[in-house]
Amino acid sequence: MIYKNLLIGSLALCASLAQAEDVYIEGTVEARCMITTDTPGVYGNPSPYELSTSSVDGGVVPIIRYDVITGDYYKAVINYPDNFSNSPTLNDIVTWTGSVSVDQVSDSLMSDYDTDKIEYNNTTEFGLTIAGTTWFSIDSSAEYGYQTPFPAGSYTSVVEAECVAL
Amino acid sequence: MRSFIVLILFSAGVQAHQFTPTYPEIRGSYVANVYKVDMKLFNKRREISYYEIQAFDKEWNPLKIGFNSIVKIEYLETKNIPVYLGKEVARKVVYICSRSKILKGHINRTLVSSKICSKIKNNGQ
Repeated sequence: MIYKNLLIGSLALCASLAQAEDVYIEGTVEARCMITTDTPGVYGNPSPYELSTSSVDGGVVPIIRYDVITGDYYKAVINYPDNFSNSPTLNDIVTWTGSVSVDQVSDSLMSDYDTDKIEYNNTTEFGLTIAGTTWFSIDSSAEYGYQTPFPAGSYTSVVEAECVAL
Repeated sequence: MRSFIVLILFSAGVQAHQFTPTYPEIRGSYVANVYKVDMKLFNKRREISYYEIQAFDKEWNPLKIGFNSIVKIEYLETKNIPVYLGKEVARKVVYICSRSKILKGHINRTLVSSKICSKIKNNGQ
């Protein structure tokens, strides 16, 4: 009986010594945009005078991901390349073509982005009206002269991805 | 011939760039007639170490900002960026942007130029 009382007493003592500490984790949610390079892109060389990111031409279509925390705060502006940032000396005209389209979406309502997009020159604008993630694919191809073979060497160009507050 | 021509648009893995707040405010600074916009830049692009801070009016004409417009920032670093503006620029400015800078010679690196622009509301009217 004594032992039982001692046990109950010691348990009560331990309980009184135990203290809870609340640890707070703070965070804020604010409108913001993040641009991410999701998939590397590579030009294939289906013919001596053509470079193309199309998979049927041996290329890889680059994918850029946009994350927006709140809808209707930003627009995406994507420019496909219209020149080489690095290349061997080229003595003929390069004809550039390309397009930007929605590849994947985190919300089914974003599928309207493609129909509502605005295109001019090498630029495509999308209104990011819904919070979430959108992946954009950029098709690009370059043709050299009138079926003139590209000189051998390394070629690079730049895709410009912008996120502009509305 | 074909094996020598490979154009790389992007090469690295996932990498990101963030510039906040979306709608910053112009505040006074400790110098008379010099104003300040507090921005925050987050660099998750491993191959990018420099960003250029730019200011534009409502017609997207570039405006001059004070101090050095090129910011060095390490991978995964978040940096507070005070953007200093003269009185006239502070009156006109609408967009404050950060643009990634690609070093010359990085021809085999990712070549995505990312640019994020915040907007100063009710300004530049």
